[in-house]
Formats: sequence, C-alpha cells, structure tokens
Amino acid sequence: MRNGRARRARRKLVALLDLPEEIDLATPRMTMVGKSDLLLENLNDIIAVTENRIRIGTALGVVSIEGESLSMAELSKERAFVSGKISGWRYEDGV
Amino acid sequence: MWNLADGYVIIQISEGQADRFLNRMRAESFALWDVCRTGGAIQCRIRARDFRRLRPIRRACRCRVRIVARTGLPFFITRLQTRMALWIGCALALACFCLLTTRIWVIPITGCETLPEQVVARALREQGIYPGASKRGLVLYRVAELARLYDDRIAMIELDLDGIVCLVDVEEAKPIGQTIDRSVPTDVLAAKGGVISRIEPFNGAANVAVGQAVSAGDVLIRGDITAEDATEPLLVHAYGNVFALVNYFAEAAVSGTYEALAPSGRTEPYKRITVAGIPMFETRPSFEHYVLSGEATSGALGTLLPVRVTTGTLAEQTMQAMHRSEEACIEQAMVEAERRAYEKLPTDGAIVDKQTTFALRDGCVIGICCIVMEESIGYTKEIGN
Repeated sequence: MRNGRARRARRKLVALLDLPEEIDLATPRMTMVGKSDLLLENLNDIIAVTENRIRIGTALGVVSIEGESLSMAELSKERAFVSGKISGWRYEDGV
Repeated sequence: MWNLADGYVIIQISEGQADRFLNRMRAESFALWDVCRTGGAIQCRIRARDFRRLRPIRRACRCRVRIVARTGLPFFITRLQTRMALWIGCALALACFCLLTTRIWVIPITGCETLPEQVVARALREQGIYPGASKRGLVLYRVAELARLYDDRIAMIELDLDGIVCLVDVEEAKPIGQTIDRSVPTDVLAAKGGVISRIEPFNGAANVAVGQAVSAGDVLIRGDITAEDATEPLLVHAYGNVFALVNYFAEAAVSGTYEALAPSGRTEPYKRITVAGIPMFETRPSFEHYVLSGEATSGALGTLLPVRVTTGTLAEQTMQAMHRSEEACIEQAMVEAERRAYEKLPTDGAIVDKQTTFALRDGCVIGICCIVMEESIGYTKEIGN
C-alpha cells in the first residue's frame, strides 16, 4: 500500500516536472533496434528464459518477448538486453 | 575485452529454480551476460571472482551449478604456471635483453663528405667504441677528443648515446684557402665598366677618382708608385676596395598575337579511384593537353572505407592564336625585361636604382629595363703579366 502511494507520488512529481515517465524507475521502457536487439529497462524480475520466449516481469505486467535463438546479452538489476531473432513482444497482462 | 582481462566463467544452472537463481543474482548485483537456455539448463557468463559468491544462492534455490568453461587472462596465466621451461625462457630473454642494452650495437656516422666513414669507425674502434662494446665507464667527450686526433681530416667529432645507439656526427677539416703573396707587385684592375662610387686603396696609389667612368681592364689602384725623381722603380702589391655603379640593361619584345593553350571545346569524363591514398584506377586521357574541371570526391564512401572516388571532366587544350591588348603587351614586355635584367645581376652587390620603360617598334612592344648596382669591380693582376 505504502509502495503504491510512493509510486503514485513519484509519477505525479515526474509529470509535474515534465520529466520522462520512465525516470521513476518503475515504468518499463523498451528500445528495439531492428529485429535483433531489444533493451528493456526498469524490470522487476525474470520469470522464464527459453530459446523461443523470454518472460520478464515489470511494474505494468509481464512482458513476453518471442522469437528464435533468444538470449540476454546483458542482464543487470535495471536492464535486460535481449538479442536474437525477435518476432515480437507483448504484455501478457496489463495493469 | 575488459572481461577477458578480468577472467570469466561460463556456468550452467540446472535443476531447482533456475529463473529464481537468475533473479537472486541480479538482486546481488552480479555482472551477468549471454544468458540463454541450452537444453534443460540456463547458461550464462559471470566474472570469475564472483563465482564463490554463488554458493548461498545455489543453496537457496537448490540449483546445480556447473562450470562449462573458464576464459580470460588469469586462467591463461594459471595454465602457464606449470610450464617451467617457458618461465625460464622468459627470465633468460629478460636477462639477455638487460645485458644487451648495456652495450652499443648501432653506430651511425653522419657528416662525412670527403672522409670515408671507415676512417671514423677505425678511430672510434681504437678508443673502444665498436658494435658490442660496453657502455660502462665511457667518457664520451674524452673519446671524441682522442678519436679526433686519429686523422687530420677530422676537425671535430660529436658523440651522443641514445640507448644502444651511439650517434656520431663528424665535422670535416676545411682546407686552408690560398695564401696571398704580398711581395709580388700588382695592380688593381676593373673587372667591368662603371662609374666609380668609392675607392679605398690599402696599398698602392688610386689611379681613378670617385665619379670617373671606367671600362673593363682599366687600372684602378696602381702598384707602381715610383716617384718622378727616383732612379729605381718602386713597385708594391696594390690592393684595396673599389666600388662602382654598374648598369645592367635588358630588353624584351612582346607582340600582340601569340600562341597559347586554350580550350578546344572537346571534353570527356574523368574518374580516379584510390584506396588508402594508393591509386587503383585512373581514366587515361585521350588528349595531349587537358585541364581537369568539376572535380568532386565521394564523401560517404570515404568515411566508412579508405576508398576515395574522384570524378570530373577533362577539357582538351590545343595551341591557338591569341590576341592581347596594347596595355597587356606593355605590361608583359616590362615584366619580362625586368626579369631578364634581374637574371644578369651578381649576388654581391646592392641595387641603387631601377628604371623600366617601353618602346614601340615594328608592331611589337619592346620593354627596356636598366638596373644600377653598386658592386666591387676590382681584381689584382701582377704587373708585367
């Protein structure tokens, strides 16, 4: 409950200051370069890693990245850099 | 690159909760990369020094962690540690290197024009400087001084040690100039005609005065200073400074019509390809004389690869009759006359005056230039010869 309030307060502050939305460190931000690289920032956890699908939990729900020969070229607390033959990505469940 | 220097391991996480294992690693700020699923296990790369930190996570997630490969500099060095022969070889090579750098191996000799370099090399060898000689206890200035005495043709030797190189700079002895025999009676004669501007007889008597015009061969300073009432002639070695104003004339004729290269109107495309500055292809022009115009170099290709493609147009040039105005003729004639006059000037004098004019003759413009120069015109000549 307290986390939810804090998040909302952060969002309001970000909106008030006209800052990018993802700066609150909760809203996921996805950057895709061509069809082979996808950078996902502000992730929560890794749910599943397979060769054809990578499921990553975010504040807005589970992001499912699909494709072939998928791997995470870089994985850290804040970001996951997915590479491979990406066919698409979607939110499995919205907030 | 940095990971290679630091050393990393490729690990395989199987059984238990492999995905949870990854999240725990993220939470513990592990550096993870190349995470992928291979068969039933997750494979990833971590820094070698982080491997020991995996133990509590492994226990918590009940996973099995297996090292697939070890890569990087620390592992490479560890593997080499058992190869004693290699380390002994490295130590010997280092010792050889240290030993060899205490000696002189290269002796480049510069400054020898007439003197053979072998003479200098022999002189240095006698003083203990040769390829392989030790640098210890070498006093360069003393060696240079002693080597200089080896041959009279060596005026000075400069030695400089730069690592294993001993730089040798030689200054050769210059032959002493011809001595003047002051006992021989001489006159000072004029080498060329002019008007005397200054005369300073150091020995003998002045035969001309300032402002007097002289011709080549005239006696300027007399060596015969016999008095009118003397019974014996008195001849001396006359010498001194004699300066005169000498005129240098030059003419140049320029006509209104002349032949010069001009565009004929024919053109052809031009292309040149260079790779890293080395020409690979160039259009061979079919014209004898041409001018390249509209030259353009492709920029996009040059930024990615060291390839430069230059295109342009070759315009043919042929000899054609050209006309120029009278003003242009006058200017051309005067410039050409001045150039010719300057070509006649000696190097050891001072320009006093310069006049340039023109005249029209037979349809041509004649440029005339006169330069007045003050210069030494005297030379000594033995009396009676």
